Amino acid sequence: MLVTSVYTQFFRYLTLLAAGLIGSFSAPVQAAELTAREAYALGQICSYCHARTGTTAPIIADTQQWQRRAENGFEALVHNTVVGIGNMPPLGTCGYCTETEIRNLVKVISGLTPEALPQNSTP
Amino acid sequence: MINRRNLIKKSFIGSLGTGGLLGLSACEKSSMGPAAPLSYEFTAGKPMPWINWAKNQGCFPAKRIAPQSEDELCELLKANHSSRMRPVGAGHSFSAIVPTEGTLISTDLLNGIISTDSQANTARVWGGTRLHQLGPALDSYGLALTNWPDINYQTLAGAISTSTHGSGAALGSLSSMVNELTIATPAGELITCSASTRPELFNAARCGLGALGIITQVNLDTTAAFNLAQTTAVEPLADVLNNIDQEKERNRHFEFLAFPHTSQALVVRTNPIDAAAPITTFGEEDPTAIYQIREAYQKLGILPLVGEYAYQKVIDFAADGAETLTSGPSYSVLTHDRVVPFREMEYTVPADAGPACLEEILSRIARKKIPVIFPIEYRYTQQDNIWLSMFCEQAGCSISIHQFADEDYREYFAEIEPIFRKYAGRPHWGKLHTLGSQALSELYPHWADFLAVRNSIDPAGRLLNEHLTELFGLTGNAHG
Repeated sequence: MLVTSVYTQFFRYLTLLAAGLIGSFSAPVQAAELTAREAYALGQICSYCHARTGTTAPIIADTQQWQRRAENGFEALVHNTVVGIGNMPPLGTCGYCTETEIRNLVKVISGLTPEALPQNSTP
Repeated sequence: MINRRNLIKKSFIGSLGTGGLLGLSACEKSSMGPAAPLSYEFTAGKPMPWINWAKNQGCFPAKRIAPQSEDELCELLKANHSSRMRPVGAGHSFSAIVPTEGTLISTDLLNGIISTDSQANTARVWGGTRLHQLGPALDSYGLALTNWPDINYQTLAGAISTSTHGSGAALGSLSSMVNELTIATPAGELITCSASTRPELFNAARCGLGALGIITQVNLDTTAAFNLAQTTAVEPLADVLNNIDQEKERNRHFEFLAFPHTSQALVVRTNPIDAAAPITTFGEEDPTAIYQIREAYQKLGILPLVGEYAYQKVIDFAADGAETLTSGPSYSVLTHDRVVPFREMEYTVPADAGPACLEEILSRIARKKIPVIFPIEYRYTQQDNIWLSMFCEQAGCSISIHQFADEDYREYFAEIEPIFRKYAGRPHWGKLHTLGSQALSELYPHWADFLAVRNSIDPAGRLLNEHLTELFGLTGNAHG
C-alpha cells in the first residue's frame, strides 16, 4: 500500500519529541520560546547524543553534569558548541544553526541561564 | 574500531603507574604532535565558522541557507546565481569536500520519509534525513535497508554522495540502494533520474560528491524489517586471514579490526535471527575504550622487544573473555556510537587483494615502529555500476586507518598511502587522500563520463570548491 504524507507525520513526531523533552525541563527556556528550526535541531540532532546515555555527552538539563562544564561561563559554553570540545563535534553537526539558535539551544540543553553563570567571556 | 566494545575494561592497564609496566618510559611519539590547529575561531557576534566533525576542515561561508522545501531551494538557487556554493549534511567528511567561501546549503531541513511502498519494498525519503533517524522511521513501516554503515550521524544525501558503505560481501553500498533520485541543479531546476530516465545522470549522481546539484529526494530499495545478532571476539589475525573466504560466505556481515603491533584482531560477525528471538545483549559497550588502549600503549612504550611484547600481552589479557553479543533491529545492531574524534584514510582495493594489502600495512607499521594503536578496519562490499563508487565494476575490500584527532595523522597516513596505491586502491571521497585527477582517472573506469555529466549540469562550476576543482583537474581553466 502506498503511504503518503508520511513526511508530515514524521515531522510531527519529531516536534512532539522535542516538545516532550523541553516540557520535562525545569529549565529557564520554555518550549514556546524555541523556534521551529531550534526545536527541529533539538529533536533531530542534539538529542541523538544529549538525550541518550552512553555517548559521553551531558544529558539535557542534568544540572550536575552541566555545572562543571559551565565553570567558565555561558559564553564559553557557546564557544565550545561552535568550535567543538572533547567528544563534542563543532556546531553539534548542525549545518544550518545560527549563533542565535545555538545560544537558545545551549540554554535549553544545559538548563542554565547566562545570568546564573560566571560572567567570564573568555572560554 | 575497538571503541565499540569494552575490550579492556577488566584489564590492569588503569593500575599501571606513570612509569609504566616493566619500568618502560612513555611511548616516543615521534614528531607527531597535535595536528596543525584550525584557524576557525569563533567570536560572538562575528561571522560563525563551519567546521567539520573531525575538526580538520572549516570555512567562513559568506552565506548560509537551509531550505525547507524544494520550491524554496530552487528559488534560492536562482537568486544566488552568481556565487559559488556547496551542500552540507552532517559534516562527517574528513576531506575538504564541503568548505566554501560562497554559500553553504544545509539539507537538514529537507528531512523525513515522504512515502513508502511495502509491496514494492521502496521508500521515498528527503535527502537531509539523518541516518540515525532513517532506521527507526523505516522500521515503523516494517521496512529496513539491507545494510548500514558503521556510523549513522550522516545525512542520507551526504552518505550517498560519497558512496558510504557497511560490510557484507553480498551487500552493496548505500548508493547502490538508490533506484531514483531528484536533484536541484545550480540553475534551480529539479531533475529526477533513474536507470531508465536520464541514466547517465543517475550513474553519476548516486555518488556525485555534491558536484551535480543538491539531492532533495531519494527513492530507496528496502527490504522487510529484520533482526540481527552481532558477535565480537578477539582472535589471532593469522587465523582470520586463513579463513577469510569462508568467513565472507558464512556471515551476512563480516568485518574485523586488526590491532597494530599485535597479532590479534577484533572479529565482528553479524547474521539474521528470527524476529521472535529475544533481544539479547552480552558484554558492555564502551565507546571510549580506545582511550584506555592508548593509555596502555603510551605507558608501556613501544621499545624493541620488551615494550612490544608487553603491549601484546596486555591486549591478550584484555581480550580473554571480552566477547560480546548484541541483537536487535538491523539498523540498531549495525551502527555504533563513535564519540572519540579521529581522522581517517580509507582505500578500497579489489576484494581479493585485501589480505595482502592489510598484511603489508601491518608489516610497515611494525618495521617503521609507527606509534599508532587505532585498529585498522577491514570490510567487504559488493560491486556496483555507479561511476565514482569505490566498488564500480569490482567487489571491494575497504581498509581504513585512523589517528586520534589530537595527534598528527600526516606522517602515518603518508607512510601507508603508497601501499594502498600499490594495490590499486580507490580512495573514499569523504576521507583523507592525496590523489589528483590523473591518478583517479586510472582508477575509475568512468571518470571521464562523470566529468562530462558534471560539466553539462554545472558548466560554470558553481558547485566546485578548491578541493573539487583540483580533484577534477580543472585548475587553471575557467573553473579554477
